[in-house]
Amino acid sequence: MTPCTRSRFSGRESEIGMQKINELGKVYKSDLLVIGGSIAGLATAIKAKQLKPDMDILVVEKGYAGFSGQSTRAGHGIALNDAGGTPTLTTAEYLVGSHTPYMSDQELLLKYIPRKTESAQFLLDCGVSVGKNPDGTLWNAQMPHRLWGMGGIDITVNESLRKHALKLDIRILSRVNIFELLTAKEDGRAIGGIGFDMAHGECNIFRAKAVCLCTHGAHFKKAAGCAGMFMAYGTGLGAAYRAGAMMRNAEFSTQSDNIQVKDGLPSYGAYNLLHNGKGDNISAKYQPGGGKIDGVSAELAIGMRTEVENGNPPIWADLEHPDMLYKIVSAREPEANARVLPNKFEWEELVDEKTAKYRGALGLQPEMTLHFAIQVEALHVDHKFRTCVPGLFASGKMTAAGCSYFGWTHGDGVGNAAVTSLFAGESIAEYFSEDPGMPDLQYDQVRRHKEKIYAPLHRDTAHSHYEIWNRIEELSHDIYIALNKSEKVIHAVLNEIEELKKIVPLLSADDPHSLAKCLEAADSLLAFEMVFRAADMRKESRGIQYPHYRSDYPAQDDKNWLKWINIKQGTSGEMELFTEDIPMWRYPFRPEGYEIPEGHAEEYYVDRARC
Amino acid sequence: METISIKFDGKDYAARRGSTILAVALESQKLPASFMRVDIPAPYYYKGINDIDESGVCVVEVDGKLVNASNTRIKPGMEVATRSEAVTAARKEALSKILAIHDKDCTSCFRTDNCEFQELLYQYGFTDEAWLPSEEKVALDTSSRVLVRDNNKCIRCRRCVNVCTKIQSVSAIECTGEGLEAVIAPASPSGLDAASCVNCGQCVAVCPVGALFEKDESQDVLAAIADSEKFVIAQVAPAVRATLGEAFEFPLGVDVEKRIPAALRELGFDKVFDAKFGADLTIMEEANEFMERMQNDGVLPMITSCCPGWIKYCEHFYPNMIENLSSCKSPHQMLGAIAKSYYAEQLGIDKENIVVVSIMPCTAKKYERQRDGESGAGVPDVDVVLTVRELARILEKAEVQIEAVPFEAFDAPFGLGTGAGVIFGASGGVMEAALRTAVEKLTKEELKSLEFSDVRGMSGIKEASYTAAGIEIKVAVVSGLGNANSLLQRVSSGEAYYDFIEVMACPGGCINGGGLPYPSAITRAQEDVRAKRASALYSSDTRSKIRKSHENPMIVQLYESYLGEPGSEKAEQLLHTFYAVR
Repeated sequence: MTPCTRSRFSGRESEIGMQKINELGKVYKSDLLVIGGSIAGLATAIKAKQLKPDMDILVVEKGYAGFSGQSTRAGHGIALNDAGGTPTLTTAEYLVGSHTPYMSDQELLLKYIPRKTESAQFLLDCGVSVGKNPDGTLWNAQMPHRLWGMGGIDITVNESLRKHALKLDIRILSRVNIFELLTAKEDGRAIGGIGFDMAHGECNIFRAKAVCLCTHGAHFKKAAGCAGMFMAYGTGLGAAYRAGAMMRNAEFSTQSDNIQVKDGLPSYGAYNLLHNGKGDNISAKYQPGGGKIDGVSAELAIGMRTEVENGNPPIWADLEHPDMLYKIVSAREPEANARVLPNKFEWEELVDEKTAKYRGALGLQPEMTLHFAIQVEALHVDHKFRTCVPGLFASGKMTAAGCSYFGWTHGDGVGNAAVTSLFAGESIAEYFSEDPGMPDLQYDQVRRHKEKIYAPLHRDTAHSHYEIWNRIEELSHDIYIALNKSEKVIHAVLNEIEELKKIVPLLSADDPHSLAKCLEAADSLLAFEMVFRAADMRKESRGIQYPHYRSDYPAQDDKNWLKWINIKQGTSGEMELFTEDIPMWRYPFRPEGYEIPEGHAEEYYVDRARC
Repeated sequence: METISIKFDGKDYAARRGSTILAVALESQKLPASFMRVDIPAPYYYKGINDIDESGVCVVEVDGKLVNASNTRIKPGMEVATRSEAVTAARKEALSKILAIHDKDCTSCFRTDNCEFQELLYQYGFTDEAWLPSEEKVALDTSSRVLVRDNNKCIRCRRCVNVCTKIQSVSAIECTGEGLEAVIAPASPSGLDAASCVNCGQCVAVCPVGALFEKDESQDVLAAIADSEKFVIAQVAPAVRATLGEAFEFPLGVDVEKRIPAALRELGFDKVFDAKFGADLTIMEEANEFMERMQNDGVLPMITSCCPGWIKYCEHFYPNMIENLSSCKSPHQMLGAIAKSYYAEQLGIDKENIVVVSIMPCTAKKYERQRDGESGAGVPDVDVVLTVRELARILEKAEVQIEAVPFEAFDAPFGLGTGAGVIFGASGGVMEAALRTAVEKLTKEELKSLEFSDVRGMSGIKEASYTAAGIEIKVAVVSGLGNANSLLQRVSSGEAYYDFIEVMACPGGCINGGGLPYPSAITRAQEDVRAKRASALYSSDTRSKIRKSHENPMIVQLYESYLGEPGSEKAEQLLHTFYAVR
């Protein structure tokens, strides 16, 4: 017999260029390349395939598809619409005003909000274990505010989606990490990607008619199940950025949570129950609006710190008098648990038993502390989840800030992936309603990317990716850097980033795993830089859920900053930032005293009294 | 259906009167709300084969007493505790007793990760054991050409004994003694081979652990592929496409036909053929043989011969009916013979250098390829038979991701099979395929409807009669050798008369073969695994452009250019075989 050749997947290309590319690596061909095989990647692929069954879809995942990705580690709830039929505008008004005020793309918000329950039903129809009532209908926990609902979803979500995708004849490639996108010479549209397989380091080249990125963003948090690594490194963001995609809202990247000191888990919903050592309710003291808001504001976080510094420790949560939110959402209410996620809790029980964790010993007055996570999810997409690069779509968390949704609620980790997948899947199907064609790959581009990707393997320098990550971790967990920013701090961090960038070309690797780490660290740094460049530019403070807080500009400045900050790679490789007016004149909800700027007219007509 | 109310762990359930507690728990797995599902472990239980689980693990608490959930029937108002401390303690104790007799060579056992016992051990926290091979081991029974028994792994569940005795009426494996002291052994002291075992592999399919397995031939395949002199051909049986996915955690009943050619090419096979082509060839010969027997007062009923488990059973237990067996070889043997004659001549390759590898849902095919009369071209028709499980292991080791490979077609000229060929994989399929051809040939008219639905479905014995050109044809379709046994007793005694009988050794046909991936006993209890797999084949048939074997253009060409007519001298030499009294 003839030995198996590596270029077997290339089809019957006659062009010399393609033959030369085959020599660079194993070539996979498909109509649509989906990068990232967690919930967003799989759900987007499924939605697109359902609408366009003839499409040949290849999903590529760096871990084991179905068993990796953030949704296999999280999985508590999934956001639903309120079962009572609360009008979209009512919910939108709350979200626009409360979370990251007025930064939302309200038109997207209005399209997005009504689809929450639909997205959960979509997952359910794909065989995902979503919490159900005994009669088979979706279990929907009524939230006290009735603005949205909450369903349960199990950690087996990706496993179920993987099965469903296979049933629909979707192709799924595991253990291949893609680091760069490939574009067409003619119009710069996305037509593939390049990376390597994590087991052997073999170069893999992907050729497609369109690409969808579903890789999470960068998430500098070390969570349980991540084996001491960050939850996401930003390689998808980096690849998109270098291919010409635009980023938006990078400054709104810090998530602050109250976590229980004893078990390190967030106590969702206890934001208004925090007390200091003297027994004073400090939520009421610091939280804007007297502690009624749903999230940790920058003010509360800084206040917690102040209380401890002023000699009033410990900070604790009064769970003996829980609010409704805690009762429903928290992982500790038995009936809700049972309804929501049997597998997750079975697994946790086993783990807890083995690690002698503190399950059940938490008590009703747990000591609380703060936890910050910088998560850069700034890839900008339009209402059809198209990036600025033609043929490049995106869904899931990496677009969470970039699409200016800012309606983030509990249950939106999985929920956002599901809803945005519906949008992206539909949009991709539309893109394929006429054959977009498959332009030739550019040999020089493929070769250049390959050289860059493999470069750390050929270096004999002693620098490790940990130098970058450890510093990012230290910085992003420092309250004065991650949360309470000032020009002085930001400039110091940017200077440090410039120093760290000098290490990037010196990183060295000796196997596929460490090679991936080198490339990931470079993109982590890029994502981190975006946050601070944008934070430098935004000279105001705004937001609770993903706050941007500047101690030198502590007030929300609606006069000057109803703007989005966009980031693109400039022609000479530098980071270009520019603002864009938020088209409030098209939106229903505007700050008090807002005046439509010159050159624009009222474009939203609604009897606001009825909302 | 009369229902009564009972409680599991304080929750209310309505259940069918007369059910066992275990049956209600298994039924509850279908409930939409996951928190209403009741889990009761039952490592010995296997639906329809081992309904009473004596492992000691299958216990629950009723009125403060521990009872066996598999043989305690529910009563109105019964309150069952499935997670009490006493229950958990009893289960753990029972599991540790079984573990004590089990060879804990788990790290190198081929069942690791799909072992039902291992799964339970993890669930009950047996994670800190020293997973080492037993120091004192009994020798493996390797007497059979196909199957191996490893009593060191046996957990005394008796599933193999029951399937061999009750379902297959073969009784090659016996059980003496009780509980964990019981001895599970072949019916002959000299081993399985001497115990009239027909190699159907149903014992392997139901074994919860690694105590039974097929002789692994994967090294022969890899060696042939590595040998540049050899031209290695793979042929893929119909049932393989409906089952291979299961080994890679595809959902049950997903047709992976389009993924198979590229996966096998990546392994290094030179040609990938579809055994559906062989099935079409079988129909040409078999339909012809049947019509000849009908028209020339031949021996009737004619009985199909595609199934080597059935053939060996017939030779052992119904030697008087050997004349009734069709002389047709089974499809993969036919295709192998053609590959080493016609195809070798076409390609100008020495037939000695052609290696035919059949990928089959079956363990008995490993025996069949070694039989006398299976070397049509003077060399063995088929060189290696791989079960689906073996192929899955090869793919996994070679890191071929069947999930990712591109969708490609089988190779010409034997890559084209019809809808008639694909349904060979389900009980009734051979009969239906034969009728599609025989009825058209008899009536010389085109069939109005191609579906012979009377012979479809998962019931063990199916009967029908059809009239073609004024002739009434009475047919029967049986699957499961126990069913074959009772049917043939009625035929032998003259109590029943048929013209044509299809027999498949495995209940449900090849889609339930002994060489397939293992759905767990719990999956078997909850889902109709056989029907799901079969439906993949029937929908493939429905989608096929050509659904009658005699309309396969490659079949037509093969006869025109090489074989002449069905039943010709050349066809007899290549495609037909003979049988022996055992």
